[in-house]
Amino acid sequence: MMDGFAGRIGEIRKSRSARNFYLPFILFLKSKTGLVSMLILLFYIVIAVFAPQIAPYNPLQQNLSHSLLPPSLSHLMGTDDLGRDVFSRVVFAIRIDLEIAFISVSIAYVIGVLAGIVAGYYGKIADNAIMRVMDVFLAFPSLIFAIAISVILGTGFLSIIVAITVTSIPLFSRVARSTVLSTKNELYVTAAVSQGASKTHILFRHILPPSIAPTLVLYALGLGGAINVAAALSFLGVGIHPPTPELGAMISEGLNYVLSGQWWLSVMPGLFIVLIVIATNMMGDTIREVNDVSLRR
Amino acid sequence: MKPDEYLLYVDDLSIEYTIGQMRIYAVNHLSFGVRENESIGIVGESGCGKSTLAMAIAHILPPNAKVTSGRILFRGQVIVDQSMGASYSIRYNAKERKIEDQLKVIRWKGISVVFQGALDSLNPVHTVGTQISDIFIYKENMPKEEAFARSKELLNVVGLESWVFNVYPHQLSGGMKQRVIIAMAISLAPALVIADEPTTSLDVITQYRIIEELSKLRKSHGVALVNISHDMPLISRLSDRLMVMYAGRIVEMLSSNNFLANSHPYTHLLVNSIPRIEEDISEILPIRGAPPRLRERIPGCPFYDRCDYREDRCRDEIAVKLVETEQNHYVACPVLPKFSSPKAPEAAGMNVSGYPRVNSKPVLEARNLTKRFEKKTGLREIKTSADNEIIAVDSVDLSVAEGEIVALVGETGSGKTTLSRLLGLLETPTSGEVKLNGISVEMRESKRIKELRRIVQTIFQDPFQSVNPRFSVFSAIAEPVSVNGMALDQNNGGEGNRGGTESGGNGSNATRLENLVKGAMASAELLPFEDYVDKFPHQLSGGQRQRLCIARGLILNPKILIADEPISMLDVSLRAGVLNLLKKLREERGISILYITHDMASARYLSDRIYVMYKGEIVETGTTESLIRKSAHPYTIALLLASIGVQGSIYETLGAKIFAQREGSSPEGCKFADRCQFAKDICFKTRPELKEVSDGHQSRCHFAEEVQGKRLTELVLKNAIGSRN
Repeated sequence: MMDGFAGRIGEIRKSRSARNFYLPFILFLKSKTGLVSMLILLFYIVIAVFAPQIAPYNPLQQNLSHSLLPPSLSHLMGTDDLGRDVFSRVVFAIRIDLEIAFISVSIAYVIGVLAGIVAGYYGKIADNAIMRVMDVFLAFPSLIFAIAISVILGTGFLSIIVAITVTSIPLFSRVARSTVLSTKNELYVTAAVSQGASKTHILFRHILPPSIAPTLVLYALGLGGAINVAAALSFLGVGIHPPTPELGAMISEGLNYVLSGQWWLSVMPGLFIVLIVIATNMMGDTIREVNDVSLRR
Repeated sequence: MKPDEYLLYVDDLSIEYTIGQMRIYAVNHLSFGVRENESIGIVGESGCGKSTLAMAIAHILPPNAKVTSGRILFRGQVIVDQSMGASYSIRYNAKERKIEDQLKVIRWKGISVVFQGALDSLNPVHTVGTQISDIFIYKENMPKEEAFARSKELLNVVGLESWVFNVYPHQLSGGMKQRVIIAMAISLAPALVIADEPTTSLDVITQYRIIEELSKLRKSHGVALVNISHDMPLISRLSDRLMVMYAGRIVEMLSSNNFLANSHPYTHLLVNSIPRIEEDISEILPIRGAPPRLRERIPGCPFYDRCDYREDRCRDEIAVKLVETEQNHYVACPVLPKFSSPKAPEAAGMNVSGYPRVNSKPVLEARNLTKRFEKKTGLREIKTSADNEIIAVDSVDLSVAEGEIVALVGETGSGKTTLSRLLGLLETPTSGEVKLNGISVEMRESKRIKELRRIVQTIFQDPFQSVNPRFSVFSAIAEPVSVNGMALDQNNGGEGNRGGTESGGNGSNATRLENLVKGAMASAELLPFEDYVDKFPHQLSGGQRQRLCIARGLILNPKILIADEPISMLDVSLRAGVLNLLKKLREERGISILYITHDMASARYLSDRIYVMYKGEIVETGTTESLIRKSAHPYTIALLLASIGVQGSIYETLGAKIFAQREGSSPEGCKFADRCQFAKDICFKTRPELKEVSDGHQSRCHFAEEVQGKRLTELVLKNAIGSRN
């Protein structure tokens, strides 16, 4: 009887700690900005995954007799100078841009956060070695660095990913390191040491959790940033090769026609860049808010 | 009471704050007056509205504060009312500009403020001199040279030498900074100075000095003082009258030399919740509950919920008005209960278990313990030269026996916290050894250390930072169990389940953990279990958090607790509870406690023996009564006199030299010599050793017997008690 009762409290406690774990997610979806940004991102992901099913035309199919048609029911976003359907090209461009963003930012996140935590937690030689390398990465503006990489590796998908990854690693590692540094000196960490806690215990129970939220914020912001950089690189002509559709390249190609009235060539892909950058920024802000423990309840 | 009798008159003042959707009723219908050259003390806990009141008088509340009723008159002129508000403004519109212009004559010249926290209220990028002269230059349009000259004069007035003029704030000690701020406050000869916690965060001896300084200035400059503090005995030395504030109201107003003859239950508890050095140990009374959070208006007496003498009429708004019961004694209590005098410790059921036991074996011992820190000098680091080291703890011998409470008393920078970290196995000593339960501790053997850490647990000073804000009460208290992989069932000789706290394990394991946590929480009086177990630290009060830390320490069943200033961050009314809890833990569980503090009075209340620490050395040790009544070291005497606080007593007995504070001292010779009036040649040449002056009473002074023979503290103690009665 007693055992059953106490066991039940144990169960409740377990479910409560589970609730604490999921609480940020629940709060995230409850907030308006969080929900909207999540929906927008899902929308992009759906487009990217089902691109072949969604696109009405082959994005590479030229049809010179249909060149530069304004938006209509048969061509939702009009056609470009070679008669390719802009909507189909945008759909495939989103696919390639999201791939670039997710792959490069995820790699940068893992490497950067790990390096930052190691640097912050172990300090001394590890800290100096890692952070000086980061300083070197940080010294190059991402665009210049990308151009340099594409000179070495040749332009294309891989060099964009390498460029974005390398230039965003320092951001993650710096933020992770600074949160670790401030948490490491908290009195509750000292308290845990005095209870006999091991280094691993302290790392996983006390130091990692508070450094997740700020880096997640950066991750969300980084997604938008990466798409921006990818677009900018292609815009400059050092990114994805034509005729593969890419949002930045499409803006760049359409630029010549804006003044002569064919605005849809640049504006349509531009809108999609703007939308996802806004969404990722909103997402970053919401993650920061929901992870502030003192604001809960 | 007529407003024109007074220099400052506060009439029915109410102030509200708006924070988001929330309203806080900080000050409720408050009236009082301050005459010319009068000094009044406002006493209350944090959150009682005393700082709001002070800032309202100076018209510098933040913009979200609103005056909802009443007014403040200064020399008959209205400076705060509903239309003027009491907030500072940046002269944004015509109305604000008009108000600020009106106040221009009052700010600095009429009313000035000494802010709380001397350590942060000076600008770090300007020298002290520029900051003081700025007042003259901008408020009085004085030429620079004259302003400089006046500033130097001012520094002399507050007892600072003129070199202070050219230095930056970080080069000064806390007490010196506070005096600079006082100098600034009196620079334009105001009629009223508001001192908001003028001595908080300062050392006892410095506190004493600042109080002396302020009362001297009051006489020489003829200013009126409004002193705000949570420390009633301290502020009563500086004030003519005391006002006790609670939940935004004045509950009692009385003359300060007989503040012990109070009549309001809250005042009574406030006075008796702090141990006082000049009286023989009697039980201190904790106040139950916590102060109201002022989110809504409280009808009737605000102390109703925590009062032992409450009656139904206390809920009546008119009955709890402030009434004059005697000459100059106003009380806002309709009941006016007769208080029973505090019980003697035996009658209160203390000491029943007969601790301290004689000849019990030591749990914690330190032999010749030394810790040196290297100063960081960047690339030009030169190791092991004497100049590049700070000796934080200097060959300390210390022992705590089973079931004994030992106090370690010292000022900021005396090395007591470093010593506590060494003894708490958080720092590796440079030399010397720590023995726990007779086992010598070797910091390199991490496995053994882990075992030993269960014997000694530390309670930290700041309960707000020593609990991970992401942990619930349950997981915070359970954490030590999981990190030690403790056998969860101790009664049945458990089978040693490792880990398995959060992740569950089987049901009975969770139950055992739960019982352990329950037991620890019960010992720490964090009851009832269900109310707290799922809360997060930010939902608890300071006292509750400190109990949480104690529960977390107790769950490992340690032999000794190291309590590093456990009450200094807590509200006055919550301190008694924690002190009594520590006492009870010893009585019931026989746990030893090393109580580290700067406060002689609480050390006397709690401990069996006292160690006094100065600049990393133990300068005197002995049983509590022997050390206090027959002090044999001038420093101990200074500490005691400062906490007794009879005006002038330190100057008379120990001379002005005691306040001289210099960094570093002669490498040979006594570290206290340059502050000691009794110092002779030998003191500057030979380092004194700890020597026995009577049974178990040791002093590190060449003239220990002589100093002890003067019986300085006993005389002052007698006088202090005599003057009270």
